Amino acid sequence: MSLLAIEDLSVRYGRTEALRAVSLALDAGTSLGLVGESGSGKTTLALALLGLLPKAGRVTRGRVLIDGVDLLTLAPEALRRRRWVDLAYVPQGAMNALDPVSDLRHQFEATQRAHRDGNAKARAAELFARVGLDESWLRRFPHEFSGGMRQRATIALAMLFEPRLLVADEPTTGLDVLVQRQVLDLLREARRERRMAMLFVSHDIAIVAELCERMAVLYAGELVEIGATADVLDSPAHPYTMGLRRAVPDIRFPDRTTLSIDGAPPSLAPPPKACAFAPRCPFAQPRCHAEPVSARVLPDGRHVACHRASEAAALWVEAQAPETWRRAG
Amino acid sequence: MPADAILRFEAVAKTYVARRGAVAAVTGVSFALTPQRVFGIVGQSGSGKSTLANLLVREETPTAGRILFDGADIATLHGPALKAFRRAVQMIFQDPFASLNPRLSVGRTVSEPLLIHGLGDRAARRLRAIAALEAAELRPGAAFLDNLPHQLSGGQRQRVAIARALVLEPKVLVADEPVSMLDVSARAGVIQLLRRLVDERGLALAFITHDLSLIGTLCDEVAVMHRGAFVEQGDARAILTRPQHAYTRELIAAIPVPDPRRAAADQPRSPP
Repeated sequence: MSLLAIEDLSVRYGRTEALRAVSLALDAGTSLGLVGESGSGKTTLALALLGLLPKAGRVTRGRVLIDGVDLLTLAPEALRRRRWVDLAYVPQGAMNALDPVSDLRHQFEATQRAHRDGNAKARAAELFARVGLDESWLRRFPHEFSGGMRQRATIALAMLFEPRLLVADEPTTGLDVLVQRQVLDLLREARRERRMAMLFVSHDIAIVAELCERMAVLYAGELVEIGATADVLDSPAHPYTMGLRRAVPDIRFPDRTTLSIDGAPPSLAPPPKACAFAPRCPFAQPRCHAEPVSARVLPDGRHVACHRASEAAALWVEAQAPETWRRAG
Repeated sequence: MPADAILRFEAVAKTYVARRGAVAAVTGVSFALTPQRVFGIVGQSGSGKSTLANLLVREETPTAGRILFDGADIATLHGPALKAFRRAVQMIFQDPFASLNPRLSVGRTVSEPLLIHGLGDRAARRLRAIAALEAAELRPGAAFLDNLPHQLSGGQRQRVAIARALVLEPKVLVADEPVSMLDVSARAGVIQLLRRLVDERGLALAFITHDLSLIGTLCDEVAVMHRGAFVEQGDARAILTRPQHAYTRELIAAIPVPDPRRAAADQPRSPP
């Protein structure tokens, strides 16, 4: 049984269908990167699985199973007890994730008390050491920390109960390259040492390439491609993935131009009936604008939602030429 | 240093006086901005790159050294000459969500600098705003005039900010992390736009970033800034392919690479 199984999950904010029929699974100790641009539904997915959707958000369909138990049917108190212990969350912008009016030691103690008996003090010092923060900083308040230190403190707090699943939402966005490197190494260490599973939300596929064995690409609230990271990056099968792949600079090849995907995602109130990416897709054909698309499975086990998935190899060759994306305008 | 430089830093230093003594934010940097050239300034937070940006647009003045614009020390400018400098040197900020007034239409935002500088009547300002929007690749420009920022994507918002900078027909652009808040899918478009403006309009661009991976296709020259000083300065390709300073090498090594095999080398794959 998978540690986490999301089945057919749909979420609405009023008329906006932010997430539509998303299914994915994560085994114990493995990592999945969830990529997509702003508004693709990445954060909505993370919040829905944690039971932390804002008031306007509503799960309209689907299940979120952890060890076979549907979190969406749990009473709020039961769900609260599982958070931190079974699944911990490092939110986007750790600036706001910590309580500004207590020092870090109190935040560890309050979290500890809320879930289990025991002494958080020694554990907090140990966790701080692991994220490269001196113990003395436990006496300090969040505003005294730099951005990178705050992010590391948030990760230390998330590790308090050695959760089996860590959900991290853009944990390095806004950090400098060197601080980002520390945070990525820290997450990788934690995964290796504790066999912690991780759902890593990011718009940067270079980071996902480093941290995650599998990756899922979201576009306009739907999963368009999911598979092994190496397969998805080497031979992307969905044109949106191809565009993302060509948009990311690679420091090893300074002369290679990066491309952008012109246009913006469609309105999801209501979502388009046919392929949502068709208006921006350089390979769209009449049927792409007319017919709904469903996922098919490639020989390597990948799931791809594209009418032209069978031609993916040829399209990827074309997608590497800058002219292809200019044409899409 | 090329003779046709438009803005030139000569051993510029900026020291702030703090309670615990003097803090040197910038220590003796020299470089030149030249038309049709992009000068990249790479630094992490606290490196002094923001102070440098403020010096470039005369929000700050040096405590040592000189900054020459068209041969004149900008510290001495006043009156019409200072106004001309303020028109000629325009800044593009990091966050197009914060730098645009959410209540002002795109047309108003872009034409406001003309109003402030008392240039043109209403009709002329409107035409110049449309032209600036189109130069920033928001076409047709007239179609964007009545939009509010929240109706635009991040990439479009940053283009509005660029149009606002272009409307005064500047000679120098100072772009401070102009793509770091944008989706990856929109970054390349803004980078290519900046390069095109430099090439086609003869602008000089100072491109300030923490991310070395952005400079490869944009910058001609690069300076790597650390603790207020340039630790390495020179041709952009040379610095990326043959970094000489340990700090530059450290920055390059820290950048994630979209190659799962390289990561797999030190990351054991979990059993299925």
